[in-house]
Amino acid sequence: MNRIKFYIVFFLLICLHHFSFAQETINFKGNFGVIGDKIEFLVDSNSNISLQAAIKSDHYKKSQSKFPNLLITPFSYWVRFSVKNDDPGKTLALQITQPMIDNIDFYQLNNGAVVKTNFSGQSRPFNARLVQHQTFIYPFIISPGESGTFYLHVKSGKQLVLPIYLGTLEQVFESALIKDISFGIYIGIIMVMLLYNLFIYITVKDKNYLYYVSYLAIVLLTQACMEGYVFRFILPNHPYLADISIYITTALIGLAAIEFAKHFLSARKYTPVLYKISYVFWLLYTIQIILALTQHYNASYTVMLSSAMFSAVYVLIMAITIFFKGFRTAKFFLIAWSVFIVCVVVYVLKDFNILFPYNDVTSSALLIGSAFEAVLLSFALADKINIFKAEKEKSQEETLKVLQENERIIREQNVVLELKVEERTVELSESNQELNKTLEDLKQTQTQLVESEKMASLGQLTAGIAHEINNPINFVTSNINPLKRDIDMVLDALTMIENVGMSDASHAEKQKKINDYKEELDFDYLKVEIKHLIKGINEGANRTAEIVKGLRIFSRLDEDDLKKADLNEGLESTMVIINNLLNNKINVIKQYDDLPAVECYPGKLNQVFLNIISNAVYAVQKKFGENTGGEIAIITNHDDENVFIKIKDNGTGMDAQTQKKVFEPFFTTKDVGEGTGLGMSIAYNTVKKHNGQIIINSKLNEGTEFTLQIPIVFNAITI
Amino acid sequence: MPEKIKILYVDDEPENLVGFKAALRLDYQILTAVNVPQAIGFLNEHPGIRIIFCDQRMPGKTGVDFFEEIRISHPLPVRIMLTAYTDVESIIDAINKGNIFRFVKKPWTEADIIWAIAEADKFYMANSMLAVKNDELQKSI
Repeated sequence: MNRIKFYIVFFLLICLHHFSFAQETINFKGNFGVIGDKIEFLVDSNSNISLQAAIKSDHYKKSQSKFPNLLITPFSYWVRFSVKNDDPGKTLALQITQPMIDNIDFYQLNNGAVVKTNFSGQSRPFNARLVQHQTFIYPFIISPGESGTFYLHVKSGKQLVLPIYLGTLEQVFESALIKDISFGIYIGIIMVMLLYNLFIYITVKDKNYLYYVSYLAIVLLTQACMEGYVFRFILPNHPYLADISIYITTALIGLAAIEFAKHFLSARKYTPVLYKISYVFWLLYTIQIILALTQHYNASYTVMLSSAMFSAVYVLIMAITIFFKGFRTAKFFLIAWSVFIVCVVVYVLKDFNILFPYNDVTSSALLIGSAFEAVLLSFALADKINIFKAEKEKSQEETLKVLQENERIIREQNVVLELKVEERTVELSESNQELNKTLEDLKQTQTQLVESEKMASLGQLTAGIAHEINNPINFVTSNINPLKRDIDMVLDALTMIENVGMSDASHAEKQKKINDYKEELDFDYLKVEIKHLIKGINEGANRTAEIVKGLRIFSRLDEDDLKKADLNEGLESTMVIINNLLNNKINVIKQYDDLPAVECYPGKLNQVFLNIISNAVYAVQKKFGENTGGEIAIITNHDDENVFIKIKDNGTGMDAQTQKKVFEPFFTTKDVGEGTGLGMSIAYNTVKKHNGQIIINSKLNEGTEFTLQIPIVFNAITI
Repeated sequence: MPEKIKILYVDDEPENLVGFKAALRLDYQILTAVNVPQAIGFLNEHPGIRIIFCDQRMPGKTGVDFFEEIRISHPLPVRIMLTAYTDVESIIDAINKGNIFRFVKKPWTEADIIWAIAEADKFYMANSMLAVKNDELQKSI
C-alpha cells in the first residue's frame, strides 16, 4: 500500500514539476478549444532568430490571454507550446483563425526532432499551406499518450492576433465549415441587400441607392479580403495583390461609408461645415493607401484602424446633428450607424486590447455589425421613401386644400359676379328702355318737324295761293256790280226807245228824244264799258282757274305714286306759288327746254323746286333789298339719261363752310323762326330717292347755282 | 249839278281800273292811271284831285314809294292803299313812309270803297280849309 502511495506522490511531483518549471503542456482531452493562454512567445525583433536559436532561447514570455494580441509591429515572433494527446484518436489539428498573418512558419517537433514543417501565410502563395482554407490548419499526428512540441514563427503587417485552436481533425474541419457557412450567410445577406437596392436604384434612380449599393459592394469585398476568401478563391497565386487589396479596400470602405452618409443625410444642405470636414478623411485614407503601396504596412494598418474609428465617430456626429435639426431620415440612419459603430469600436478595441478582448464574437464584430447595418440602412432608405411619400401626401393635401380654397373662392366670386351681372343687366335694360323711349321721342319729334315743315310750306303755299287768287277774283267781284247796273241801264234804254218808237211823235221828234236820252246815258261809253267789264270778268275767271290748276299740279295729292311728269309744268306751278314772294323787283328768267316726261314723284319734286327757289328769292332780297338788279334764272335741259334743272340767282351766295352744311337737317342761315332748316335736307333726300344729284356752285356775295340732275328713267337707289 | 269829286286810281292791272271806274263813274269823276308817271301827269293837270287810290304791287315803283313822293309834291290828296298782299311789313311801310289814310283790301266791296271815299273827302275838306285859313293868316301878318 505504501509503495503505491509513494509512486503516486513521486508521479504527481514529477507531473507538478513539469507543470511548474517547464512550459505548460496542453493536455488534449478531445475538446475543441482555444489554447492561446497556454503558449509562450518570443519577440524576434529583426526576424533573424533561427529555429535552433528559438528552441534554445530562454526569453519566452507566457501568454496572458486566450487570444494573444501581438499588436501591430514589424517584429516577428516565435511561438511555442506542447501538446499531449490524451484522446484516443491520433490525428489532431491546429487552427489559427486569423487569415491575415503575413508569414507563418510551422514546426512540429517530436523529442527535439522536426517532424513536420509548413511555410505559409498571406504573403506566400495560397497553396503553400497544408489545408486549402483561409485559416491556417495544421493537421498532425500524435499517438495517444504521446506529446509533441510546436514552434510557430509569425509576422504580420496587420494586427497580429493569434487565435489558436486545438482539436481533432474532424472537430477543426467542422469548425472551419461552420465559419465558411457563416460567412456564406453573411455574403447572402449582403448580396440580397445589394441586389435589392440595385434593383430599386434602377427603377427609382435615386442616387442614394447607388451610393449604398457601392458601399455594400465595398463592404463585401473588404470582408472577403479580411476573412481571406479573396486570397483563397480569387487571387490564390497573387499573394501581394491579395494582401494589398486588404489595405485598399479598408480605405475604400471608410470613404464609401462617409460618402454614403453625406449623400443620404444631405449633409451639404444641413451641416455644410461637417460636410467640408469629410475631405480630411479623404486625405487620411489616401495616406493609408500610399503607405500600403510603399510597403509601410504597419503604419498603413494603424492609420486604417484609427481612421475607421474617427470616421465612424464623424459620421455619427453628422447623423446626430442632422437628426436634431429635424431631418427625419437621419433617425434610421442613426440607428443603423450606431449599431455599426458599436461593432466597429468593438472590433478596433479588441485589436488594441482595450475594453474588449479578442474572441469569436469580437472578431466577427465587423461582419455582424455590417450585416445589421446593411439591413438597417435598407430600412433607412425604405423609410426615406416613406418620408418622401408622407411629404408628397402632405404636399398633395396642401395642394388639394389650396385647390379647394381656390374653388371656394371661385365659387364665391362667381356668385358675386352673377349678382353684379344681374345688376348690370338690369341697369342696362333700364337704360336701354330709356334710350328706346328717347329714340321714339326723337323719331316723333323728327316726324313732327317734317310735318311742321310741310305745314310751313303748306302755309306758304296757301298764303301764296290766296294772294295770287285775290287779284283775279277782284276783277270778277268788282266788275259784276257795275256790269249789272250797266245792263239795267241798257235794258231801260231799250224800254225807253221802244216807247218812243211806239209813240205818235214825229220821226224827227222821236229821233231827238232818243239822241237826248243816249247822250244822257253816255251810251257810247256804256257800250265800251260793258265790253271792258265782261272782258275783265272773263280774265279774272280764267286766271283763277289757271291758278287753281297750278295749285293742283303743285300739290299733287297722288304724291306717293311714281308717275311720268313734265318738270317744266312743275316749275311753272311752283312759280305761281312763289309769285307772291317776288316783290316785282326781282327779274325772273325762264329758259325751258323741251323735256321728256320724267318718271318721278312729281309732288315731292315740286316741293324741292319750291324750297330751292324760295331760298334763291331770300338770298336775292337779302342782297338787293328793295333795289332792282336781283335776278333768278330757271333753266331746264336734258340729255339721254338725265334731266337738268338749273336754278341760278345773283344773291348773297354761300361760303365754303355753309356749302358743306347746306343739306344738314335744321341748318339754316335765316333768323330764328324764319326757317325750319329742313327745306334743303328734304330736297336732298328727295333727289337721292330719285337716284339723282344736287350740285351746288356758289360764290360768296356773287350768287348761287343749284343744278338738279334727275334720271329720266327711275331706278331705285342701289346701296 | 255840284262837281263830282275827282278820284285818281293807279293800278298796273287794266281790268282793275275798268271795274273801279265802271262802279263809281256815276257818282264820282274817276281818273285811272296804269303807271306812276301817268298818275303824276294827272295830278299835275287836275290839282283838284281829292283822293288817290293806289295798288301796292306794281312793276317799277311800288305804291308805297309813289305815296312817299306824292306826300311832298302833292300833299293835299288823301292817300288810300288798295292791295291784295297783306304782309305786315308792307303795311307798316305804307303807314310810316306813305302816311296813308286808309287801307282797302282786294277784292273790295263797293261799300268799302264808298265808305272810304266819304271819310277821305271829309278829311280832305278839313285839311284844305285848314290850309286856306293858314294862308290867310300868313298873309294878314
